[in-house]
Amino acid sequence: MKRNALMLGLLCLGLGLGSAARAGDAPERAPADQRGEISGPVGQGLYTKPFWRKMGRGTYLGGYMDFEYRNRKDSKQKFEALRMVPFIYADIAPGIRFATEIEFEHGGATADGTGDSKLEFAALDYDLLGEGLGFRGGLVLMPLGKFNLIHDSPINDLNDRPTVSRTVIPSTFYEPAAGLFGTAYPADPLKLDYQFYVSQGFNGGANGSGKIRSSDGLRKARSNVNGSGDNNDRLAFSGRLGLSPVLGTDVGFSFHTGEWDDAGHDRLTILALDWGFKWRNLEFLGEYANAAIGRGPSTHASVPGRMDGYYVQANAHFLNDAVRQGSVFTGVVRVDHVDLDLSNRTSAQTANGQERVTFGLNFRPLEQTAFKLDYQLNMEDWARSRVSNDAWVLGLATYF
Amino acid sequence: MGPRSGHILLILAASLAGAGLWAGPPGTEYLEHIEEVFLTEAGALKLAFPGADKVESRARRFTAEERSRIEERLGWALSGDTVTVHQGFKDGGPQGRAVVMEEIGKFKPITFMVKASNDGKVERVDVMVYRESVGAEVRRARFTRQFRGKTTRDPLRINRDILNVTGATMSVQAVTAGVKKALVILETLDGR
Repeated sequence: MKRNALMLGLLCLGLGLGSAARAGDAPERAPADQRGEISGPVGQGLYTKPFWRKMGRGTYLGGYMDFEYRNRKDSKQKFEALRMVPFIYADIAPGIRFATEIEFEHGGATADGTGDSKLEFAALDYDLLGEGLGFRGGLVLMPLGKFNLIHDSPINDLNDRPTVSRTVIPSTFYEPAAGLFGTAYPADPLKLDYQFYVSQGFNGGANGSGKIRSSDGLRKARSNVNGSGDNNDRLAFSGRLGLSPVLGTDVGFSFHTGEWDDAGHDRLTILALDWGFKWRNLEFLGEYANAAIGRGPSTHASVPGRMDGYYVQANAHFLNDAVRQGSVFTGVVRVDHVDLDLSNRTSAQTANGQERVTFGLNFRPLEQTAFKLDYQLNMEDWARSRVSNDAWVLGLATYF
Repeated sequence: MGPRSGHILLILAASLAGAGLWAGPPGTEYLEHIEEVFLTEAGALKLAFPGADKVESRARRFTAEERSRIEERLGWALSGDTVTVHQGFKDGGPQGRAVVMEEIGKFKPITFMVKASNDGKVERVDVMVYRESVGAEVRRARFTRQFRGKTTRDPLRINRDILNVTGATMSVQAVTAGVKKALVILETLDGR
């Protein structure tokens, strides 16, 4: 099976390289901006669709997709249409903008609930003081960690999202919210980014219903956005302050806090720290998050009291323009760790760590499109021997 | 809803009311592009040639040979066949040259001036008009100063010698490509 995966990986990369090499044989003779025009073989219907079409006077259509093949040792190998996310952007008038993303996940909504079709982001922005301060209202991405804000698959150099950004920060984490955001440059070259929102908050479920769990963290506790609200009358607050002392270096501090239980008494507070540093062809990035969950020992026996996790990642870009103009290869190493029951409230086990070391190689024929090949070493409490669950993951992702 | 939540919502509402005062008269004309003009051409030329006593502007049409040479060196096609080259002089001596470039960012063109020294090194990049709603950081000195000293012999590539701005990759690509194009055009017009 491993050999199958390797062959598939090489085939994918080979196809990418081969077609890219042909495309790179001669300088492009087309006009610089072809968006909205038909390109590619007309006989293949895909290329006749109006990608990047500007609609009307100020509305734009775009999006991204990703697709993957996964071969995990303790599971059957599978292909998956993971995400297809069209987005619509509109300049309504000077200082007034609207943007939305509509996500079709796992092939789209099905009767048995295995897929999703939903709004992921739909917000109106209204400039109050230019770039320095704006109002945002609607369905808003929570500013909790940098990854949640910039999570598009074509940007990420590995196929899977960081574990901490799926469990402690349940990306993609969005809520009906309203608040303020902006960017300031108090002294060159310092840059500050800030966001602050009032939002609906988590829905921890009825006592003992197990929406906050040591198996998958806070993912099930994201509240519905269909008007039913969460499970109490309290609002939540979130914010992020990003600080970039020089171009290529940034640090972000963020929080989300609110009551999660039916009675509105027990507070869930998540604190996150993210960082990024770029130097020449190297990038170093990561995120740490810690969730403190108020609980009653008798009524919330299944709820862990605290969880945390982090990831650290290094990327090295190489062979720029080697295959075609604008192409690049990237080698990636990432270490993930989470402990979703840090204070051992739901089990007698003294350690509940889940770790992953991922080695990745990706090829971008251009910045917006990536072919990715990853190998994941999965561990439990840093032990390699407990479960045989390592995996090959091959994927492709592109903006369109 | 707790009293604290109510206060926060009141602050938000007051902010919006304040915005209404700022936003100008109703019926503000809809623009094809939401433009932010940071510099006029005259303003950009003053920054490019601060001590010059004269600036000459000459429109040049590429010969077929020049165009072919430029496109071959760039690896992509030119969308126009003319360029206006601005040259500053002080006490009769040349003070370098500047060209205005217009490159598509995510959706819309970014207009900026590239100033090169007499020996073909970038001295300044100044964004004049920005039309995207995000990614305007490319107009800041903290981004543009990394182009200083670059020549046609430099890669001028993101993640190689140019640092990207997260969330503004296409704007960064556009400005980087425009700087490279300006340098290649100037060098080709010199017959190099």
